[in-house]
Amino acid sequence: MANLTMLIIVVFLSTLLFTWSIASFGAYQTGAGYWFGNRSLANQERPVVENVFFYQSGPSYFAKIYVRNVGSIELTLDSVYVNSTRYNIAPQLFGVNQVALLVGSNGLPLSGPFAKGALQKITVATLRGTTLTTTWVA
Amino acid sequence: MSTIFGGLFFIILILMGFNVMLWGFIQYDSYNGIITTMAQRDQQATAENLVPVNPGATDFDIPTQSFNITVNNLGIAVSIARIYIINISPTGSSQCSSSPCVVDPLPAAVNFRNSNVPEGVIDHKIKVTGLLINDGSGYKVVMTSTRGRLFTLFYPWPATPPPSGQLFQTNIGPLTVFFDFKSFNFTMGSQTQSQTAWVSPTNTPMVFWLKVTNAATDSTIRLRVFSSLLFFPYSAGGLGAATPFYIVSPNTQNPNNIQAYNDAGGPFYDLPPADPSGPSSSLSVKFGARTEGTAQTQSLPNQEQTFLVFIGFYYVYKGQFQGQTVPFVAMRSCAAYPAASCY
Repeated sequence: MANLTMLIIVVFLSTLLFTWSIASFGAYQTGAGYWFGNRSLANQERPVVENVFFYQSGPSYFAKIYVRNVGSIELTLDSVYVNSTRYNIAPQLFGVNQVALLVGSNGLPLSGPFAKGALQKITVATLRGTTLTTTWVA
Repeated sequence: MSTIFGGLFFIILILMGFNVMLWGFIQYDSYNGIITTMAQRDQQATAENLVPVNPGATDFDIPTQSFNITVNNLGIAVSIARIYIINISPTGSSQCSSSPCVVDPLPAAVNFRNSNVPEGVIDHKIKVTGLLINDGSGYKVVMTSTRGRLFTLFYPWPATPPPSGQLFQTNIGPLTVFFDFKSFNFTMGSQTQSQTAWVSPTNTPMVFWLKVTNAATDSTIRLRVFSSLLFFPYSAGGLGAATPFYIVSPNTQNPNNIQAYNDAGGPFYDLPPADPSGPSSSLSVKFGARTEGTAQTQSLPNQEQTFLVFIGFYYVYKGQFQGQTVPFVAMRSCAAYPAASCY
C-alpha cells in the first residue's frame, strides 16, 4: 500500500514537472526562435539608396529616390524620411538585386520646397526595422 | 517501483533540457553564421575601390552615340550595376537635367558594357552607348556597384586650382620665379631693405631683387653672368628700346655697393635641388648692372614708362648650359616716386 501510494505520488509529481518543463521550454523556444529568426532576417537586409534627384514640377516638389536591394533576402520598404519628416508610402517590395524608384515615376512628392544646393537627409526604413540614412545635395 | 519511475522521469527531463540547449546552440550558430556572412559581404563592399581616370570620359563617338569611362580598380573585383548621369550645368544642353539619365547593362536602349572590373586592373574602359556627354554641359556620373557602392566622377574633369601659395609663381623649366607683391623688389641709393618694384623711380640707379627657387630634384642650378632683366616700354618697339639690368653679385645690396657677378670665381647663385617634400628655400637674385659682368649701375629711362619685363635666365643644369626666357611682370616708372600720384 505504501509503495503504491509512493508510486502515485511520484507519477503525479513527475507529470506536473513534465508539464511545467514542456511549457517552459516551449515558451523559451518560441521567444528565442522568434528573436533569432527575426534578427537573422533583418541582418540579411541591405537597402542602398543609389541616387536621389530633387526637382520642381510646377508648384510641386519631388525627390526621385532610387533604391536597390543588395542584401540576400527580399525586403519591403515601408517608410521614407526626408530631413526627419516621415512620408507615408505604400509598402514597396524589393527582390534581391532589384532597383526601383520609390513611390512612382514622378518620385516622392515633398511637402515643401527644398533649398537648391542644400544638404538633404534621406532615411529609408524596412518593415523589419532596418534603416538607412544617406545625405544628398538638392 | 516508484524509484524507477522517478528515475525515468528525471532522465527524460534531463534529456529535454539537453535538447533545449542543443536547439539554442543550433539557433545561435545559425544566427552567427548569418552575421558572419553579412559582415563578409559588408567587408567586400568596403574593399571596392574604383577610381575614375582623368579626364573621366573619352573616345566619344557620334555615329554610335557612345563613349568610354576609364577606371582603375584599386580594390577587389567590382561589377557595375547601373550608371546615373546627371546634368549639373545645363548650359550646353538640357539632357539629363530634368531627371537623371539611367544607364543599365545590355540589352537596355541606353546601356553600358564591360561592367565587370577585375581586381587590380588599370585603364579599364566601360563603354556607354546611347548618349553623349561632351556637349558642353557639366555632368555628374555615378557608377553603382552590385554591392551597393557608389563611385562618382564629373565630366568635364574639374580643374584643380593651384594651392593658394602657388598662385603667384611661374614655373619654366626647373626654375620657379615668384611674382607676388613682395617678391619683385628693388633698392636704390644705399638702402639695405628692398621695397616692391611694381612702381619704380625714373633715372635712378637701382638693383632689382627677384625670388627664385629650384623645382628640380635632380640637379643644382648655377645662374650664369648672361642673365638679365629686360624692361620693354609699351611706347617703343624694336631692339634697342629695352633697358637691360644684368645680374650682379649676391653680395650686392644696392647701387652704392654694386659688385659684378663672377660666375667663374664666385660668389655664385647656386640653387640647391628640391627634395621630395618641395623646393628648397628661395634665393634672392639681384639685377642692377648696365652691361654684362660689370658693376656699372643701371637706371630706367628719364621718361615715365610702363614696361613689360622679361627675364633671360642662363644657367647650368645637370652640367649642361642652357637658357630660357620668362615673361615676368608689368610695372611702371614714375618721376615723382614715391609720391602717391605714382599709384
